[in-house]
Amino acid sequence: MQTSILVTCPDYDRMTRYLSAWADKFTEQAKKRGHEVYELKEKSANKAKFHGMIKKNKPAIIFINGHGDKDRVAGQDHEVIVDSKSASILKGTTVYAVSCKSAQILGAQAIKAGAQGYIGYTEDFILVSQPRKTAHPKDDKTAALFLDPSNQVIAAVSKGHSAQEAVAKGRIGFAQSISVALNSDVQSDDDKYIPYLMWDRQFLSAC
Amino acid sequence: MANVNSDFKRLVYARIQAMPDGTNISIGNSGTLSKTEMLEHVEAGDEIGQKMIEVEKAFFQALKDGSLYDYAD
Repeated sequence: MQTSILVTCPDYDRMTRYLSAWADKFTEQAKKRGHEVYELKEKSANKAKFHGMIKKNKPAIIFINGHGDKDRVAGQDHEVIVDSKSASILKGTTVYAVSCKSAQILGAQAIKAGAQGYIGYTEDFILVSQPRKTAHPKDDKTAALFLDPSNQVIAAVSKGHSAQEAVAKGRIGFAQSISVALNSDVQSDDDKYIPYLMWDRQFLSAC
Repeated sequence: MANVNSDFKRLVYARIQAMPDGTNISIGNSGTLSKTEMLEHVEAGDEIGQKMIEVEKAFFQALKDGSLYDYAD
């Protein structure tokens, strides 16, 4: 099944740099599978282009990466790109927001406004990373423990799974990361990050 | 109860101290914290420090009720 996907990729701090690097991994795979992918990178990840892109291209799936709060998510430089007042722009789409807390209010508002599904986190999204990998985030194996499961969520949505099914797959992904960390060798510090992996698994939610 | 909370705070502090020096943790809109900064927040008991304590509490609860192993193959 081929579909159209809008991806936001802000990049102005460590969190957004990593989220965008993993979004790029998903985008590469999605394009190979024949999906039509529209990307809003860095300064293009702003409210005007986000709304314009949705109106023009009518993507079925929206993959949002960035900072957020209970009733909003942001693009580049903390600019709010959609909030509970403008949630109707998400009508007919399935959204996955790798963003803090937006599944609390924005997600519910989006569903009320006619979104097919809204997946996000009801609490802060936590990421552990290694500073020596800043220049090459995709090579950061610690960050991969967190962001590979996150990518499993959007991959599942792009394959036609429902929001609830995608969340279930994401939770299995986090459990696999926890299992990897639990069974890491004595030289590894991955086991120290298990509480943070559990946190993200616990608060990944579908509205 | 105050002693229990104080003991738990010390436990969280010790667990963060055991992390490698190069660890960075990004928590929501709070930015990215080094190990030293995490320890300072826990010590101060501010909003970020309380969040770190909350994360560890959730972990120990999951260890206690077995949900740590949920979904594991």
